[in-house]
Amino acid sequence: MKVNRDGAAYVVGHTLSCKKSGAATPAGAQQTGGAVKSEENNAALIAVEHHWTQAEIHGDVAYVDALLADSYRSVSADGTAHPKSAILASVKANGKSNKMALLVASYMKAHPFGTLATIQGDTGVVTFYSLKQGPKKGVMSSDVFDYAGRR
Amino acid sequence: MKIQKLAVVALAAMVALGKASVAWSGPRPIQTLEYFVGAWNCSGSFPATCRAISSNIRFERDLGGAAILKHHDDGPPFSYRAAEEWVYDSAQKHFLASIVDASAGMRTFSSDGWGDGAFIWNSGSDVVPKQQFVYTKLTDDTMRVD
Repeated sequence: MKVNRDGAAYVVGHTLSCKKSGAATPAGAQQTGGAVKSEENNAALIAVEHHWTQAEIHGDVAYVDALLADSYRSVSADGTAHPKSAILASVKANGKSNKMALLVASYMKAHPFGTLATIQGDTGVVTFYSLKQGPKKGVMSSDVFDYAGRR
Repeated sequence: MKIQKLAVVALAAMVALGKASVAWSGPRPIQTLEYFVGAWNCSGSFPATCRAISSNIRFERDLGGAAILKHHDDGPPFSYRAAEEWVYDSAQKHFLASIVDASAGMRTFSSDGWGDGAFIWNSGSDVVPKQQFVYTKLTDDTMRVD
């Protein structure tokens, strides 16, 4: 543990001295590099998904706008399709209060879920499933990502 | 996860990473993180045990420049691997990071940005005990991570 400037205690993992060795390989270019790379990319996809959730909750319209394709549609179980414009309007509204953040926190607490990510070529799928029912019978929702234009 | 999907079971949707661009009136805060972009070879130790450690860290631009993606891989005998996405939250006016490690743990951090030559991430309320990562710029191609 160490004490920060404000007096708060923090966990210290490690101390590293780093030297830049060159340019990084563009994101997504290592999808065929074996199990380790696959694991990394899956984790990266889940991180993006997590940020998506946070952006929607807290009203980060710019992030959601950058993430979603213009042709994006969110389809509910009843068949209703929600266009990108409606989603961005909803995100903007979420940013005006913590109402959605509280709702989501409450839902997640009441419905514990697991996350799976798979990537095949330029397409990634993130699946959320009920921990109670498992990934084979308890799929709650899925999001499909298309890796476009090296972004 | 789509928020609208939280209350209902939903079907698949199509998403393109960074398909749209965002108009900004001035330098984007995320551009202050350009320093990190690239591959870094790191060596150091765990203060608590003095055990030596080596790590490879890669930073890449993502979402059309709206985000920085970081991969952190410790070398043997350690097996920690993590993927991090760093973005600027224009609503909250601070940086946010999601860190996912190989054991599927997920943590959220925030930062006010560069200050005194260092970029500091502080963990969110979901992380107990609190964690902090300090990236100190030493030169254009050397840094320290605490």
